[in-house]
Amino acid sequence: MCIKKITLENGLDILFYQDTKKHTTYVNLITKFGGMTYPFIVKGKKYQFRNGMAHLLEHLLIEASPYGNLVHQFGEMQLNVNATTYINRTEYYFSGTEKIEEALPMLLKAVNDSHFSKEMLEKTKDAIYEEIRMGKDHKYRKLFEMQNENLFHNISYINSIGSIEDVRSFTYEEVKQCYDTFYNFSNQMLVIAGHFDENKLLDIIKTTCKGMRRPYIPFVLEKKEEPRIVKQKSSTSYMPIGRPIIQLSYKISVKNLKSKQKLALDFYLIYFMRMNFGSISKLGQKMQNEDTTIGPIHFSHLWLEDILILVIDAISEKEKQFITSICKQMENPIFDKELFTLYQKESYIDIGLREENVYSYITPYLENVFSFDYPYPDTLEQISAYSFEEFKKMIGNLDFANYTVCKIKDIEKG
Amino acid sequence: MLDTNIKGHFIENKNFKTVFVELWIPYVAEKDYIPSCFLPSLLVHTNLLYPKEEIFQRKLLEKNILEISCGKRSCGKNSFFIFTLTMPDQTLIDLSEIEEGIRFFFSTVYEPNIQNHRFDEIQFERVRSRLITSIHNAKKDIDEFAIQMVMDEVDEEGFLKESLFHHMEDVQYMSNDEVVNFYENKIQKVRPFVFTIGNIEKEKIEKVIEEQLYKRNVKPLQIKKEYTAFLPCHFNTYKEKKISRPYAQSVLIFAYKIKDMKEEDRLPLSILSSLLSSQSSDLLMKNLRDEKGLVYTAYSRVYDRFNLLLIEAKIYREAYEEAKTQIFKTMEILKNGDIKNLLQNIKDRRRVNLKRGLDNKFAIVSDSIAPTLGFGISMEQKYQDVLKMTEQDISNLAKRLKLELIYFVEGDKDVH
Repeated sequence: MCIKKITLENGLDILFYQDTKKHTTYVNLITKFGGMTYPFIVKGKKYQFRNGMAHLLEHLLIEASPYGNLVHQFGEMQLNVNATTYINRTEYYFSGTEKIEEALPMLLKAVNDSHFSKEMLEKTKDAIYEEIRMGKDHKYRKLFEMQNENLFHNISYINSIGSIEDVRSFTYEEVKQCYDTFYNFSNQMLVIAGHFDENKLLDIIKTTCKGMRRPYIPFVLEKKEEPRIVKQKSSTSYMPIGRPIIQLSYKISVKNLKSKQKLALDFYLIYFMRMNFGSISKLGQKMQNEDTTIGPIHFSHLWLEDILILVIDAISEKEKQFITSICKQMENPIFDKELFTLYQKESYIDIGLREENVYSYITPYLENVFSFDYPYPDTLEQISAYSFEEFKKMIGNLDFANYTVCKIKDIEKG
Repeated sequence: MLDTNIKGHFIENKNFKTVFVELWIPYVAEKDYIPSCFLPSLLVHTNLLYPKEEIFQRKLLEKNILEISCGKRSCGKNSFFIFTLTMPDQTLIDLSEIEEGIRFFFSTVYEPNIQNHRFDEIQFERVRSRLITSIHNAKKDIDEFAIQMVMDEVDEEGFLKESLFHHMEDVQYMSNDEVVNFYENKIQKVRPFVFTIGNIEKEKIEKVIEEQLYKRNVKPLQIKKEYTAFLPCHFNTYKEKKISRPYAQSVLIFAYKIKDMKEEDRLPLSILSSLLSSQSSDLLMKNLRDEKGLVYTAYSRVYDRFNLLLIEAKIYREAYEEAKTQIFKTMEILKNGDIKNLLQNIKDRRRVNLKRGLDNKFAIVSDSIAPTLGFGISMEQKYQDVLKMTEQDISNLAKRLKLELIYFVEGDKDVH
């Protein structure tokens, strides 16, 4: 099984991943316009919008589609449907075992041939206001927002959904400008995976696209250089919470790394964090034994183009002790060769297991495309090429000096 | 009575690359809810041979074990401890490694880190601390808090009250000794139901499992098939309660019960819930979100073994009255029985789900376990039963629904 890529004349990239043993088909139409927006210039005019524009469009195209609310339409066709706005893209996807050939042109038209009105736009905003309120009660969303506010000088990204004020401010003309600029076939990718007839679907896509004119509008993104240092060293928020959470977010420049190096570093970071902070690590165990943390340390990382954000958090009532221990470990980390070999072996198995279902194959592939600009799936050969020496060297080259601390404490105790 | 004298159940399936071994250990829950909450974490992070968690974790990696987990499931008067081993199959590792993994799994479940009749003190205190934190968090989380408040009002019999929410003191004072007693008396000596799924060589795996069960000298436990405990209706009219908390959102919950609930009401109740909130019908979202823009999400939850239907809407506090009106309006649609097309959608969805289930290893596991243990029927059988349902059946059931409570957690933070 492998991924087959076809590019249509209109610029649309189509990826087919066929697995005839499966009964379900998965379709995902991706537009390369996400929650993190930059000012952009079209025909000499500069546009700059607040957070939440891509997410608003995501709702609008689905809920005010030419077929009515696409969630209900597809639901009644026994398809599971949803859409998600990521930092760098918006995905519109459905899956099912029947009526795929009927639904595929509907999705293409809903996303690329929308005729939303001012009234529809305002109505769509109401549900988003409730979604925003819901997020305000969510502690990890709050931490994510605090982290982004503290890290960036020139990137205005706080979250993908925006604030009520942000969303309320968007006019019909502004939304239309964004839609016309970013929603065209040459800025999209269509993924079809699972059980399907490739030729039949390709014909349907070509016929549907012929009936739609989505002219490419040249645009230039205006990106400013982001300083290496964080904007703010720490911040604290108060909300209803059982025990305090502390999070350290490291801002690391990876400007000099190429696609393949970033991909390797992505694997190495997981090994590194598990080795130093996971339940297998001495520090992770010590912190729990000494009540520095309640429960394990959590960690993750996020790629924002040339910036890598490394996140470490835990429930802790001993914040100074927690911060000192993490920083000390980052200064003198453990590199365990035996453990590296075990993790590498686990990665081989993981690659094999990805073929179990189409989502676990496609999802890491899309991460490779959108985070590393590397349009290939991970392979056993690639993992075999990773070495302990390179692991040490690449991690050793990362600058862990710039971090911000975000704390959430209970509103009643605050 | 359930037949517990079974060697094991094998579900051979070559479409996946994972092997699951599940041990379902039945126990009769008495006044031992708190010790049963301590146990899962104490049993899957260490064992007697590897009493330090970091070493245990390393062993899992060395043995290619993807996960050993433990959970609990309660059905009426019966409860089960469920231990799950997840490993890659023979296309990715050797059969001998799978056999070795199964032996390690059994030793983790049956030879835990108990010495001198005590679990390791450090591990024990860690678990206590995590449980206390989960209670603190539940009290502050808007969803968990709201559900618990509703349960307090509608579940006077305590059928559904399996929650630590009101047991802070019990957790604080639970002794190590008591948890060991619970484990030794209720879990360690009982013969489990064993389910194995994946691309496996049945005879070889069966031999390893038999050897492990024989070695442990576990005895079958005869338990009664009492999986339902229907809550009675207590009130003729509904209560309306409001509480204010420091949240940005508000939660509105309607709690319904069926008057004189019987076993045969369970299926139409689950269909009624699907009509309210499955994507094939979505009556709640159509009435609350599409029509009025009141919510981001609204859904129903059905506890069909216990006779309870909850409708939840996350709203802004000023939308309280309007949201209530829309929920009442939605329930009227079900009573009027004008749901022919929507019911057909639900039937079609169940048919499609049967096919989708073939791509989902977890669905295959659960579709085999529930009928074997007697607390459910197969998806196929359920689908056949759903096909027989008419809109009249649903409408009759909707008319028997009694609203017992409207609970409103009013978020008092202004977010404009």
